[in-house]
Amino acid sequence: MAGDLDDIYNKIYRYCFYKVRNSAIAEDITQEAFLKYFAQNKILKHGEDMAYLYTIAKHLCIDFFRKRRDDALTGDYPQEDFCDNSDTKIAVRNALERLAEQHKEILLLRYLSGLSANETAEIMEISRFKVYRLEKTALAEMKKYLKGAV
Amino acid sequence: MELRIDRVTKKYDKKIACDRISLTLEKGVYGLLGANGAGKTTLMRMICGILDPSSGSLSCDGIDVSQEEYRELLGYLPQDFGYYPEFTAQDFMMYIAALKGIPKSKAKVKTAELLEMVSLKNEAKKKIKTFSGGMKQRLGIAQALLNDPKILVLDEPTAGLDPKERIKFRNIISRMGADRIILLSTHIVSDIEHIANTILIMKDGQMIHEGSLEDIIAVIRDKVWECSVSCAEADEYGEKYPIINTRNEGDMVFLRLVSDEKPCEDANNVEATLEDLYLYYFSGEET
Amino acid sequence: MKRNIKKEIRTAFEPPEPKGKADFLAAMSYPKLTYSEFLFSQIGYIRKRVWFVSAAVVFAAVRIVYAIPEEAKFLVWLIAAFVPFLAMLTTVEISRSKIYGMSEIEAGCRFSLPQVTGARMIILGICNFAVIITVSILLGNHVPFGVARSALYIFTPYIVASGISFMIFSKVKGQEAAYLSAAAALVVSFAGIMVSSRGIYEKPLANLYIIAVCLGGTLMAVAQTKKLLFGKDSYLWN
Repeated sequence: MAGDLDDIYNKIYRYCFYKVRNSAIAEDITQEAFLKYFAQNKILKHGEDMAYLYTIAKHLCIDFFRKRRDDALTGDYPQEDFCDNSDTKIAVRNALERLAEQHKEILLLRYLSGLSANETAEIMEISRFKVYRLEKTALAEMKKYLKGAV
Repeated sequence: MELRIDRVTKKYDKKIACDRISLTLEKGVYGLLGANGAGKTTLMRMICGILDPSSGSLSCDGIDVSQEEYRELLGYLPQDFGYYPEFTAQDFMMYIAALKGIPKSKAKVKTAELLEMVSLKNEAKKKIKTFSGGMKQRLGIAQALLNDPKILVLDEPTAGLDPKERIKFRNIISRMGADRIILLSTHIVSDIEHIANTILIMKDGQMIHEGSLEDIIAVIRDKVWECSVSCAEADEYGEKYPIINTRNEGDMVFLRLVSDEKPCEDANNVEATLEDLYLYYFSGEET
Repeated sequence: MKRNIKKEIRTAFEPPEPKGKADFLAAMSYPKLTYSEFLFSQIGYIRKRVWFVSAAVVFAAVRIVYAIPEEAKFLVWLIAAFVPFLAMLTTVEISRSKIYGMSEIEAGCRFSLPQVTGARMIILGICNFAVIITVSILLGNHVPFGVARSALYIFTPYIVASGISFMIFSKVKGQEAAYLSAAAALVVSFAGIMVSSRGIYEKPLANLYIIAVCLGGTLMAVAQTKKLLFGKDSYLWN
C-alpha cells in the first residue's frame, strides 16, 4: 500500500525542524524534498522510498547551512523552540545532544520520526542488526545522562 | 479547464437520443433541464465516458473521455445505482475509493469527512439496506466526491431528498462550483434556478437553449400573462396559447399563459420565471 | 522504561504545527494506487463463501484419498459433479456489479468496470485453477486413467457451467440471473453424473466427445468473458 503522504510529510518536517529549528524553513525544505522526489518518482511508499526522501531532505538541510555560512547577509534567521519546554523535556533534549552523532541520528529517526528499523537501516546505510545494536547503546546512554540530570 | 463536446450524436436502433450536441463547459455549475426521455441521461453517460457516442467527440483539455486519465478527474452519480448487500456506508465508500485508486489511509480520512458532510456520520457503520431513499442518495453524492473531482456529473441528484436535504445539497454544490465543472440534471426547476451559472435546456435530443438564467428567460420575457376568463373562453384560449397554469376560481378560470400580445383586455403582464419557460416547452410532455 | 523514553523523545522534539501542509499536499498530485495494488485490494471484496467452497473441495479430496485411496476414481466423479457449483459461485462473483446495479458507478471510476471485472477474474481464475489442478494431481495418481484425464473430467463440467452461467448473466438482468445460473449448474452437474456413472471414462472414444464438449465450453466461456471485458454499455438499462 502506498503510504499516507500526510504522515510522511509530518515525519520529514519533524526531522527538518530538528535540524534547522525554524518552522517556515523546515517546511520549505520538506516541500522541496517532496517536489524533488516526485520529479523523479511516481509513487512514494514506506520503506525504500522513505530512505531516498530522507536523504534528499538531509542534503537540503546541509545545503541550507552551507548557504547560510557563505552568505553573510541572510545568515541570521529566527530560531524557534519546540512546543513543550517543561524541565523534563529540556532534560531529554540536553541528554540527546550529548550523544554521539550516530546514536543521536538513530534515536531521531526511530523515535522522533517513528521509522521502522528497516527504513532507518536504509537511510543510515548500515545493517538492520546494527540499527538494533546502536539503538540499544544509545538508549542506555540516554538513561545514564538522564539519571545524572534528575 | 475546458470540457469540449463536439457534435455528439447517439443513435439507438430507431431513436436519436442525442442529436449533434456541441457544448463547451468551463468552471462553474451547469443545470441541465429537460423532460424524461429528452436525452439528459444519455448525454451525461457520454460525458462520463461510459457510453460511446455514435459520432462526435468528447474531451477535456485534450484528454478523451474514454481514458483513465479523464476518469481520474471525474465524479459521477448515476440516476439509479445499487450496492452490494453486505455493505455498510463506510464499506461502500472505501470500496469506491479503491476503484478510484485512492490509497487506503487517505480514503479513510476522506470517507469520514464526506460522510460527515452529507450527515451520515452516525450511520457510517450501518448497512445500506436499512437506509431510506434520501440517505442512499446522500451516500451517492458522497461517493462521487471521494476523489475531489474536477468534473462532477450528477444525474438527478436531488431525487428522494427532502426539502431540508435539498437546501443543504444546494449549499454544497454552490460552494464547490468555483473551481470545477459541475453538471447536474433535474426536472425540478427550483433546484437549479439559484445555483446554476448556466442553464441548458434539452428537448428531443437537442440542446434548445444555453445561457444564464436571464438569457434563457429572455425568450418569454414580457410574454407571460395572467387573466381570469369563463370556462368556455378558457377552452378557446387553451387552443390558441400555450397555457402554463390554470386554476378554477368559482365560475371563472384563472389562466397563466404565454402570448406575444395581450390575449384579452383585463390580462396582466407578469414577470417570467424559469418555471414558466420550462412549462412552456414541456407542458405537453410527461415530466 | 524503553517505551517511556521513546515517548519522551517524541514529545520533547515536538515542533510547531506545519502551516502549509494541507495546501501543499492538495496541490501536489497524490501517489496513486497501481493496478497491482488495486488488484490486491479487490481480494478482500471476494465473498468468503468462494474461498470456503474452494477449500472444502481440496480438503475433501485430500481427506478421502488418503483414507481410502481405492475410492479415488469415485472421487473424480464426485468432484466433477461438484465443480459446476464452484463455477457458478465464481461467475456470480465476477458478474456482481451487474446483479446488484453497481455497474454504472464502477464504470465512472478510474479503475473502470472492465478493470474491476478483470481483477475478479484474475483472482478467482487463479484460485479455481489451483483447486482443479491440485485435486487432479492428487487423484490422478490413484486412478488408472492418470492426471491429465482426471483434469479433463473435472475441468469440462467446470468450464461448461462457467460458459452457460456467463451467458445467463449477459442476457438476464438482476438477481433472477443468479437463480437461473444455479439451475444451470445443477443441470450440468447432473449430466456429469449421468455420463460418468455409465462408465464412459473407460471408453476411449468417449474421451473425444468429452474433449469436444470441453473445447465448446471453453470457447463459450472465452467469448462471454470477452464480451464482459470489452463490450461497452451492454450493462446500461434504458
